[in-house]
Amino acid sequence: MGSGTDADVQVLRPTDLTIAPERVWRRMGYADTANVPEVLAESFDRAFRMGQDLMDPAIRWTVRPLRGAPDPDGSVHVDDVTFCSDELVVRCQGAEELVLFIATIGPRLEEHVHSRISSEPLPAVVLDYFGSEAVVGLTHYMRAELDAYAQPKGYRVGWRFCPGYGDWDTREQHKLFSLLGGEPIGVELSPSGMMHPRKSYAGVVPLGPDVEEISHYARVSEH
Amino acid sequence: MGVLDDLKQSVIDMEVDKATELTQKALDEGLDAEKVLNEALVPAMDAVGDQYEKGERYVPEMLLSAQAMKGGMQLLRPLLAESGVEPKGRIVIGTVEGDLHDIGQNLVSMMLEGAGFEVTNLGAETPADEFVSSVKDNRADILGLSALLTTTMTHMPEVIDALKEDGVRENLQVMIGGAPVSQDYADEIGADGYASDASSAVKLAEQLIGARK
Repeated sequence: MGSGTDADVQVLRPTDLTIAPERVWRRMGYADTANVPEVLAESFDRAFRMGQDLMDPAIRWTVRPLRGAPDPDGSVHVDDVTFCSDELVVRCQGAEELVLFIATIGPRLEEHVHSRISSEPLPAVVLDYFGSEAVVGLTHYMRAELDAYAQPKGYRVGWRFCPGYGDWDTREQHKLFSLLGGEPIGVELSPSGMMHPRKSYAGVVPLGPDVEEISHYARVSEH
Repeated sequence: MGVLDDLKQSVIDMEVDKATELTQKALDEGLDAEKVLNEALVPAMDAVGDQYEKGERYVPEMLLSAQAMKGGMQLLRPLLAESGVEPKGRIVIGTVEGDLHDIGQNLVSMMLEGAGFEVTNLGAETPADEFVSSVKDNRADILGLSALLTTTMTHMPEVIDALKEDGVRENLQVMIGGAPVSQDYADEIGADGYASDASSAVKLAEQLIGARK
């Protein structure tokens, strides 16, 4: 991994991605579901089951060595690409390598939501919340892969960061995509840096012996 | 409780079918459609909005109440039109060019309809000229612009400029929403207001309409 060819890019298609219902409830605002109206609980159950069937999760990722230390001027260099973000520089302090990834749950869920938002808004919205939580679930899945890669090298796994967050311009998605090559798992990028399917996200994770380890997961860039 | 109180409560309690039945019952009892709207359905959605702002209910419950309201409105709308009753206001809403996110502005549309506004929803990726045309075609009082990315919110001032060029800005109120925008941004681009969620969008629309009268 890390020499810059397509052979170094891995694709994962999890078949065992599990989403905890309480996490979807919490995302909708319900920390306690004891008094949820019955009609909402029924709609939730149907949408939750449907969501499981409508997901096509996939992650495309690679690891690249950093080209030199991050610059105080706000630059992080990987291969022939320079990412520009002061906050990314902070997160990459102590990093030797950078994980670059694109993750998606595919288009079917959001297509279903879009086709039903007017006629069946409640289940459509619940499904949309499910989809957002599923994208987050992919981060947990990927973490196991990152740990397996990082630990033998004595690396810590740093803070995940995504274009569109903080001062990192969304349009730098194009640079990230260029490092992952080809048609990445069906995720397309608009000129403004918006991914389609929308239930996708892309970013980087710094690895190194001295990076600041994550203590919680950062927000996803798309939801 | 009278039928209007029952109807109001059925919307608050998210009883979709019951709200439709009670609306019909109110009409069968000879109550005026406008009275049913203003004394049952709209106050119900006001109460729902208040509960949302207090954190006593969340988006899914608001949607259910809006659905209950919508069921009643389907019966009232033709009667209101026949009697020449005007909506509270006319709103055109859409997500700006280059942005596919539309769930948020769909929620806002539903809540605005629930509050008695006539809403034209242009959907996602709406170019500036389409906003301008729709504002003119629908005699809109308010234009709602939504954007979910920092790279697409930059189209909002373009829309405002297009409205000015076409001479329709002066008689229109513009409100904006979406994750990357803020009141400061609304002030910066010359919009008339910013709303952080569907419930506050309704309140803002009511304030903007009130300011016009």
